[in-house]
Amino acid sequence: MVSANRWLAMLVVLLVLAVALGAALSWRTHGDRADAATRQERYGEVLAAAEAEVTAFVNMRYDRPSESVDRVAEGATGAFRDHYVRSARRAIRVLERNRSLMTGRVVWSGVTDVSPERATVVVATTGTVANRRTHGDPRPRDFRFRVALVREGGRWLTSDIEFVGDSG
Amino acid sequence: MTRRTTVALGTSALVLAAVLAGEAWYLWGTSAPTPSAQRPVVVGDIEAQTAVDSAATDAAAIFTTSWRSYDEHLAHVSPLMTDDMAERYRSSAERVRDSVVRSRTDTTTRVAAQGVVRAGPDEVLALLFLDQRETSGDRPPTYTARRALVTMVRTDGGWSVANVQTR
Repeated sequence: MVSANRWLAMLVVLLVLAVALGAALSWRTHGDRADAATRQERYGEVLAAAEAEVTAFVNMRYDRPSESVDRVAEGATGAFRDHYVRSARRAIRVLERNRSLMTGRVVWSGVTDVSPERATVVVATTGTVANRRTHGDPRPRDFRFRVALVREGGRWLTSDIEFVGDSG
Repeated sequence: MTRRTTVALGTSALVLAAVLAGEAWYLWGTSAPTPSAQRPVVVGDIEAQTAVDSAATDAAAIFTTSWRSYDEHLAHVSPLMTDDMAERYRSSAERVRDSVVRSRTDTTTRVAAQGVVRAGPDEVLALLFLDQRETSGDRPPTYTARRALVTMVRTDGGWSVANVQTR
């Protein structure tokens, strides 16, 4: 019995060591997985923010111009937002004069680069544009965008939108 | 006393073994996450970037053709694709071969921008903006801006093109 207890005691000591090692590994793995989850979710967040901004950008209505402009401004920041808001009055006049109706949706979007504070996303859209020149008929209009985003106050906001040519 | 010691040691061993099993399950028993809308990229940044870079390089090579070397081109780019994709590409390329040669068409493709759409351990979707310049005979060149969704899959030889959707 005494001999059996000695073996059991040795087993318990070995198990304690193994559990301690396992706890250290689990702790480190938990931290690594939490970091990975944060990094992976960042991709989803920047794609969602870029898609929302581009969707606002390619949906402009001459009969509701302020709504259209406000939606873009809401997701924008910095010099891009200032410039956009400043030029909105002229843009609204052009929309109304041409009776422009632009509709669109995001087809695909992908992250070019991302860090905790900044990201660049490429976005492809498809849609139509109708105006006086098309006599109100919607014409296909596809765009390619490069969107720069910055993280401010817990939100991803657009700091620039650039057309990458267009295939319309 | 000895008996109580045996019971105490045995119980401790069982509890510790259970804890150890739990730790092992946490470390090795849980499966890796799969891409979703919330977590579209579930691999490291460098791994995803490597696959997207391969997609860009391969797509530029696949869609750059010359009427002078059309058959050699097919043989040259087939190894960049999975067998299934290579078969589909060969089939569609052969259908237009005569018209490409007859019209003396050269197409040059360059990648204007690229990004990762989704990335898992074995499959990556890359969005590419392709700029294509096409010349036919003596006519002036035409330019087309395309968007391509390229599916890359991990194979023994690295990343291979498994599908290309253009819009």
